[in-house]
Parts: sequence; structure tokens; C-alpha cells
Amino acid sequence: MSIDEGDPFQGASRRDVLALRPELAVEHDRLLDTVWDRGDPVLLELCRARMAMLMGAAVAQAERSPAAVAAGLTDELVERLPAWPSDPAFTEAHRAALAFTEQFVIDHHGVTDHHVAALEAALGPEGVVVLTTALGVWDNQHRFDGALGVVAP
Amino acid sequence: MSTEPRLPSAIEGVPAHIGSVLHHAPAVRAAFDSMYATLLGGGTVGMDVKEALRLRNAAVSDCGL
Repeated sequence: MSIDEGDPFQGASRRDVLALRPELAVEHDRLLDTVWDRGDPVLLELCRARMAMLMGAAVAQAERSPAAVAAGLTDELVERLPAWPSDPAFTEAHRAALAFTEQFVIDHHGVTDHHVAALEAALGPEGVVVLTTALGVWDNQHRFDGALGVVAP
Repeated sequence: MSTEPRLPSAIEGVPAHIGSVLHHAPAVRAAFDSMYATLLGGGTVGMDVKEALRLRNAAVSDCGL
């Protein structure tokens, strides 16, 4: 990464910035790899993309999970996300996950027993833990990108 | 602020708390714990600053833990 004395992060990618702490970058990537490995990649990617939309995270919105694409996710489905409550393209599991995701983003104190029960019914307790952990990591990533002016993944 | 888990414990005989609930996804938990240890244990920002930030974040987020 070229260092601009005025703004060291000018034009930097997320990977450039994380590389300033390489051991942490490795651990961050390992955590995300584990999340993708343990969850439904299409469902996870829908949640990640919806979170990015709601948070105005431009860099994250432009990304696509390779695992999700390999599992059949299309850009068309991502573009239909704003209508997830009623769009038949989304499954009940997708809806439970997206409802939880939206409430997590808007106000995590508003997550109810119903949100968690619906999510547990759809994904099981492991799936709830995987998705909640993923949302925390992505929330941090989107804010990291925004705060430091990251321009690319 | 609530510290009442909404998931049951994943460990028989152990009450539900953050550790026993996270144990439903042990691989994810292990990866998170490793990342968190690296985050806290290294770098140029001192532990005193990190702890102050962690506590401030917890207050803002109303996290009882």
C-alpha cells in the first residue's frame, strides 16, 4: 500500500488496511472462513448483502461471496432483497434470517424472543450462533470500511 | 440490559450462559476466541486503551456482559 502522508488510508482497500496487522488479518479471515463453512452460504450472503444495503456500505454491497455464488446465489435474488417479506423467491428460512438481520441492524435491543425462536426453528441453535456471530463481524467490517474510507474489498 | 440467554445451553448439566450457548457452534466460537485474543494481545494500542474502549462500547450498546 502506498502511504500518503496526509491520509495513510487514501485509496486503500480493506485488505491493505488489515495487512497493517497481518496476524489479526489472518485470524479475521479464518473466522469468516469458518462462518462460511458452517452456515448456508446463500442465506448468509443474503443477510450480509441486506445488512450492507441498510448500512449504506458501498464496498460490501459490491462484493459477492464465492461460496454463495457457487451454491446458486444470483445477483437477481440480491436485487429483490428489499421485497423479501412478500417476494416468493425467498424461503421461510431466508425470511426468518432477514427479519433477525434487519432488527439487529436497526436496533439490536428490538430483537425479540419471536425473532430468535423463528430463526432457531429454521437454522437450529448452531445456525443461530453462526448467523449472529457473522452479523457482528460484518457490522464491524462495514463500519471499519466507512470509518477508514476503504474503497475496495 | 438483558443477560438472559434465548438459546439453551449446548453443554449438558451446564446452565445457559454466553459460553455454553456459543458452544452450539464450537468451530465458530474457537475461531472468534482466537481472533479476539489476537486483537487484544498485540498491536500498538495499549490494553488500557482497548479496555476503556470495550467498556465504552458496552455502555453505548447497553451490553450487560
